[in-house]
Amino acid sequence: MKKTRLGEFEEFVLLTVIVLQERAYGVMVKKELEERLRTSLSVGSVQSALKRMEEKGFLTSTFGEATAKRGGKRKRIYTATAYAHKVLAEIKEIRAGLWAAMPKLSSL
Amino acid sequence: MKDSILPPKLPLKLLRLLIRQDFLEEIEGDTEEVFYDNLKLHSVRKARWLYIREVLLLMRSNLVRSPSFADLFNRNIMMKHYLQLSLRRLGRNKADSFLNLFSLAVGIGICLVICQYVFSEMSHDRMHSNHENIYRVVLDRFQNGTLQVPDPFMAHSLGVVAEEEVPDVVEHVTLYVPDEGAYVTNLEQNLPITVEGNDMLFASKRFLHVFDFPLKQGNRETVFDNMFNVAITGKIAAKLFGGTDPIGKSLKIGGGPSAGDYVVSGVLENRVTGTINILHRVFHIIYFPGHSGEINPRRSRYPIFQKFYPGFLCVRLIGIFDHFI
Repeated sequence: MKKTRLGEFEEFVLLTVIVLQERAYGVMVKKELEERLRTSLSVGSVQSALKRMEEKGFLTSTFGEATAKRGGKRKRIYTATAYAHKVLAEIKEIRAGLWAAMPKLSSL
Repeated sequence: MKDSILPPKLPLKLLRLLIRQDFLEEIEGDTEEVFYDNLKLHSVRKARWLYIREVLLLMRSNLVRSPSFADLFNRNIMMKHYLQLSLRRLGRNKADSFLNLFSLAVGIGICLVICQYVFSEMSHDRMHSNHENIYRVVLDRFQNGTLQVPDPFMAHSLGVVAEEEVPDVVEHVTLYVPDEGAYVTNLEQNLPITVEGNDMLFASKRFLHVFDFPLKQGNRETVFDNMFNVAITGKIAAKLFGGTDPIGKSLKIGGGPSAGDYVVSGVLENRVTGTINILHRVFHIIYFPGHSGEINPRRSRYPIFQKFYPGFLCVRLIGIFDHFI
């Protein structure tokens, strides 16, 4: 866990990439996250997170098809690596453990 | 209709200039896709503003080009291109180019000469601490009522009398440049060297009090105390005495108006410049006149310098000296 270096926003982006699968490119990740987080995000913040995680080894990418809407520019499709899945599972486990260990509060 | 609208050009140029080349296609495509999505939801104006905002928010450290993007503006490459263009242009219009370069060179040359002249005028004689109070006496000679060329040479006695009679005159210095050269010999080694008359200067006793010519060796106060003392420049000292200390050593001056044996009492810096250099030379030997070279009070061809008390007005010279002549 110590070496994962995965921030909260990065974790959201990574999970979104896994959810979207072959549709996981910049704009789609942005739209999906904006819907789920109910906030507006910039292309820059999403792209920056994607590039950072690719550098850290959580993501790989390949060029997809070009569309007229994108001015003939190709999409870059991101895929989560096995290492990313392992780290996410670890994070989930830690969080689940913490939630389980948390005393029951009357308000929850 | 909205499909024909393009994203604003300037932010797009900025994007292409600053975003890393390997990310550019994807990021440019994403921003364009977002722009067209915004066009469906908002007005063209707002979509454009949102596009500008997206581009500005893309300026993040891991997305923009590394400092190597400055290679676009690499000075060496630019200079090379400028040089190529200039050479082509010069080659294309040979006559014009020659005229331009020649006139530029002449202009720069004249400018440098003017600067040098102004610098020389501004710094002339400023090396002497008393430069504001030292005046060279110039005699206006009249012939049949007509002013001739102002004469810088006059009788030695004028300086002596002026010092005695005019309260504002502190002291005076009389100089004499002999016409004849002389043989100068180190008496210990009997090694004669020839010194031109123009390289010698007879000066009255207060010479180094009035002028601040730098002394390398010797005492400024006592260097001309004795009639048989002589000050020489470092250049002559090296020729006559090699590396040994010349102070107190004897040398023989043969020929010329002041032949005899002298003792070296001072060594001057090689450069002696300023008004004393009015004859445009460096004096290698300066000595207090002795023997047959003693200043003749009746002789009328000596340059005279007078040192006045501070605040003395130069215009008063005319009235003061009229009755001496």
